[in-house]
Amino acid sequence: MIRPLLLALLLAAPAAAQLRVDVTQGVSQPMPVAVPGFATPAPAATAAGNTAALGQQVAAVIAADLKSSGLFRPVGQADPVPFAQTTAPAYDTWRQAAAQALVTGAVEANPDGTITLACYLYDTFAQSQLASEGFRVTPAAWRRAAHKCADKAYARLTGESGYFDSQIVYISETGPKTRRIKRLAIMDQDGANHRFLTNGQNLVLTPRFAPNQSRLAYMSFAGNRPSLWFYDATTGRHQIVGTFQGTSLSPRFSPDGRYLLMSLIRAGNANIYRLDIAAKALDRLTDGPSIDTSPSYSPDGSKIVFESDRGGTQQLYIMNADGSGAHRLTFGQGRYATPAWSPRGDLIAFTRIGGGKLRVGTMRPDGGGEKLLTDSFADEQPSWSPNGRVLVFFRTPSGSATPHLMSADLTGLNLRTIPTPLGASDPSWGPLRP
Amino acid sequence: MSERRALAGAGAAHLALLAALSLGWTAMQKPQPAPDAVAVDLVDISDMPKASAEAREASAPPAAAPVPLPAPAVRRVAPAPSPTLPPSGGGTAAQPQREGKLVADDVPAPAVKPKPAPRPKPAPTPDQLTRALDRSLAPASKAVPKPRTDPAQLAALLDRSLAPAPKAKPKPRADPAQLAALLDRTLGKAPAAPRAKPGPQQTAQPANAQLSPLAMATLSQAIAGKIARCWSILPGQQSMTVDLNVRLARDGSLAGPITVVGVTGGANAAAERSFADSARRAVVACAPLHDLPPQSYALWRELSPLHLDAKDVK
Repeated sequence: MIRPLLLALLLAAPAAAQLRVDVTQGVSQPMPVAVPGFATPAPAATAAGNTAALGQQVAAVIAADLKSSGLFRPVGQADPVPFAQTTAPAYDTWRQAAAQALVTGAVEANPDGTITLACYLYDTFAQSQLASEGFRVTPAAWRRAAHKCADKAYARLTGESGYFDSQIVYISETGPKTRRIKRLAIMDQDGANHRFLTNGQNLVLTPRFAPNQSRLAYMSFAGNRPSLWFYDATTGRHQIVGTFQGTSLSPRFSPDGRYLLMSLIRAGNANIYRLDIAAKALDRLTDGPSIDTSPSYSPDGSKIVFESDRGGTQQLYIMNADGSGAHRLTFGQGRYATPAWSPRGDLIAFTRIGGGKLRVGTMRPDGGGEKLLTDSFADEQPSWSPNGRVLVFFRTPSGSATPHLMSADLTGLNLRTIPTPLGASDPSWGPLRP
Repeated sequence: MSERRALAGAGAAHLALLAALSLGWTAMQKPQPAPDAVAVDLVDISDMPKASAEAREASAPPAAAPVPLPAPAVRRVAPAPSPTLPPSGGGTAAQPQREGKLVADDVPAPAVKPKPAPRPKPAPTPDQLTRALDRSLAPASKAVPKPRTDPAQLAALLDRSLAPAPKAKPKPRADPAQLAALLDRTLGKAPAAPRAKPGPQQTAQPANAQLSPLAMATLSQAIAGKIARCWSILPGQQSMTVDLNVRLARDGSLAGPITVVGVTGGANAAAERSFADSARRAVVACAPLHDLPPQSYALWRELSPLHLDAKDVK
């Protein structure tokens, strides 16, 4: 009799000894992260400077990357840590600095002239290592290694893929409005490693990255004939794809890189065409008296969002990849233009025109959840970061003829200017680099 | 004649223009310097300190694919005293990166330093718990001192509000410490930190005692309020919830690893893992939880679940 009683007592006890606690309050804020200068096992000269100095620069790039996301707040010392502490952090020190995570590492020169960047991420509260990776690069590419390290930390701490090791191509603008010189330019997403890809002799427009990132498409008016060009980032070569009957605009690659969408203006009508790049075959996807342009594939390649005035005003429509089943997406006030489907597939970014303003916003592919992220005089032409969490667009301030590039996250709260040497418009964010 | 000369001149001029144009075209199409086609090779850095210590022998060929990094073989000893390692590993050792869904994912707790006895006299700070308990107990006992309540008094009051039938004092059939140990074994859980010998005050509450629902709710809210003050999430994580299992020592410190029982609402397992990390950090940052009534330790020694919902977090 005693035994069953004791058993019953034991079985009943856990319920009494466990307390349910519901926490529904807290704060949503950027996470404090420490990014001290990276150490070096032995200071050594490299083509990009001494490894000790590189360690400081690497940490600065990583801290800037994380801060720019709006999700992290660098805290603590910027001085380098002792090399031994890269794998055995002084957790107490970092916790006292209020750091919840620590990104640290080392820069080491290799005998073959390359450098290795060792990157470690720690949870200072759990006192555990969350991630680690080594990146070997030529000294000149040290910034890429730093971006890779920042991507590693971002991905582990947020659960999203990173986007720091990526590039942005855009149209550089300078000179008076009547004689504006436009050049194709490319740079890292943070504005570093900027370079011009064309010399400004011809008008260039609408550069778009291909998914495999080694190639981008753009429109050039060389010889006063609008034609489609490719630029190969690995060889630095420009190659004409073709000059099409009528004016061609807004090229956009399919997710697999096999097709290129564009709109061609013929007899006053703009329709959307699909170019099979290898076969050089052109198929018309829309047909009508309206202006259909700015097509953008869904990430699975099954749908296309585009803008059209077929309903009387400029609105967004979605159709199947073969041109069938078009239906209107936007019914809000004002007009909608330049749609861009997120690489995550969950949102479509656009420019909304109304109330004397051009504003950048997002909505779900079913047309719901519309959200305007900016509220300035003229913000337009959004393009997604590789992870679909940030948008780059160009802003033309009121009373100014010189646009510049900006980025915004999905909350619209983290607005940042992306530095460019001259005026900048029409950006396209490339994929994460391999 | 002059007409012929003029024609010839015009022809030559056209030819010159064409030549200039074609040269200009060539120059225009001349590609700008190509960006360096730099590659980033992923390399194993697990032996980096070791390699450095051994005069860095010839580097290994670059790996074509990401190389998973097991525990780095740290040959050099950190000059600073290394932190106490958590019970389930951690410290400098690389943790296995679990990619699957977060279920019963044991995560290391920080160094637990169990204190042998509860703090003799907690500072009578205006704590949410005491205030809340004052309010909740007020109707039952108007003799409760109005200002700040001493935890010992609180515990005594809680004792009075216990168990529905107060006919006779329930005589525990087993010693509470033994019972707790039995419970540990029965539930197959990791043993708690060394338990202090219960003092006379601590034995006032049997381990299997129950608070009234009101007192339970009040105690739960008090703990929730403490942890909420330490909980911060990343913007955009508001869709997620997480259930933790937390075991506390008598002094309110962590008595073992924090277990992630389940996470919901994340876009993927990685996002949910990140969210669970934020909850775990909140508990670690808040520990020890001060001013919990020691006489009711049996009731708060295990928070199960500690449920964190980010829906209303701003």
